[in-house]
Amino acid sequence: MGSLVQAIGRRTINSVNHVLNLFAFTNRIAGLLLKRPRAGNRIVLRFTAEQIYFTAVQALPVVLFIALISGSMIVIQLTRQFGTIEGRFVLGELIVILIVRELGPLFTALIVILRTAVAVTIETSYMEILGELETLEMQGIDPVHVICLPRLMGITVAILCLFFIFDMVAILGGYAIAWTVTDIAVENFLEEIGKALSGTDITVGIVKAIFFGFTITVTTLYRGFRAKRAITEIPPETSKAAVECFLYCLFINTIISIIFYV
Amino acid sequence: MASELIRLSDYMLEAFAGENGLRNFDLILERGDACSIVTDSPDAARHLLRALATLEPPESGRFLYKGEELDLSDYRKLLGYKRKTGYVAPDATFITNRSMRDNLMLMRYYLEDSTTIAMPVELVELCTIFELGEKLDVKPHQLDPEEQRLFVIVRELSKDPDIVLIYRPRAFLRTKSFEALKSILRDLIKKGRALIFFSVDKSFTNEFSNKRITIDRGKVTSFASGKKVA
Repeated sequence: MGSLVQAIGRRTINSVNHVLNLFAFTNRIAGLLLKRPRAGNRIVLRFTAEQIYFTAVQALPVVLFIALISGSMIVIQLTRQFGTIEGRFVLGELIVILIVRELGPLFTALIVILRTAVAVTIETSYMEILGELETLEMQGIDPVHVICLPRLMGITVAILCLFFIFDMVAILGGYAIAWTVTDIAVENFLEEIGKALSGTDITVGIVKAIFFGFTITVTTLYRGFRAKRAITEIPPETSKAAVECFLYCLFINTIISIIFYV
Repeated sequence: MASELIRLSDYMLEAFAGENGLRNFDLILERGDACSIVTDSPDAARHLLRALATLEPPESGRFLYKGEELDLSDYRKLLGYKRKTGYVAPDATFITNRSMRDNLMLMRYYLEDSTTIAMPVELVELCTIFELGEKLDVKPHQLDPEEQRLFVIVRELSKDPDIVLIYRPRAFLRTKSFEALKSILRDLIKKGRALIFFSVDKSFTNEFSNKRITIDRGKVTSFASGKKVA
């Protein structure tokens, strides 16, 4: 019994330590955003643009496909249930709740985790193990400035863009597919959604994007930097990074929804 | 005092890879010093070179560069020293997803806050000497080991370093490249830069060392030979 309590205690302390480390690391990277060192801004900008390209532009086909499929699924199901004259008044609100407030951000975060977070963890681990971070240091360059900051800005901006693209495609594409392949009445569909969509929903989208961007970037980079000696350390760190990112995003999503809507 | 570049006092490095570590030693390096590391353990030599590049934090001790003590607890405060230190060793690598041009220019891109500046003349000259001009736009994995080593040498020498640390200067190099490197090193020493190296090439060691650092089972001692490097 004693050893079980010890094990639980140890695990709890380790988990708290881990979360505190993540906060400290976030503070370290975000500090550079505010401080803006005099050197290296152009290079940081270039690397940020590359990160946005990889995370947002190259992910577009996947995002569009998933948005279209999930959007049409939700729209068809909801219009079937609430497409009646009386139900039409709640239809718009339900679609906004499901797509804009909850599923859109989570699906987008999931896509970014599967594509980008995993890639960033692997890339950073390799850089650490192969001595590339030391090479940067030997050039007098702070790796946190040129490796972490561009990823933080790039991934956050990319998530924000993908949120809006996902929501638009899921709603409009879902509407188009429902209108094309079913005989469900969808009159005034867009008008109802327009009425249901509030400024708070857009604010929440932006807040979630920023928090998800920070969480995903910091977690993946932190895990990447933990691999020190052997390439065999990379798979477990990558797997942990992906799972942690998703759990943290789910948690943050719930907290933000509670703060804004309860 | 003015000619002193580096002073390590009561410096201690922890054990590594089954070796003893390096126990409390003192080391002074002056301008124009050419120091060979003499040891049976290449790992110990590499460990010392890494320590001199401030890539290995010590367990205890002080590191003075040009009379100023370095704060070894924060890597950001060592970046200025690293910019003036040329480090040529197997663990000196490249950023693999960047071209060789970007790799050579990275420090300038960063410090001059521009990604469009042209290669400076001295860097172009170094590339010409080592016949690397045609390889500037390829990625590191497209180079053979000699070219990789030469690019490391070019990158580190283009920093106009005060101290050059080299692990096995002859490694991977053809005679022609090696002779070119020797000629550049001679010039650097004449200009008052310091060189520390570990080599298994006896003729190189004899020609280039006016000081020796011996490492024997973790004990580091240094002494000047009084010889002048040609």
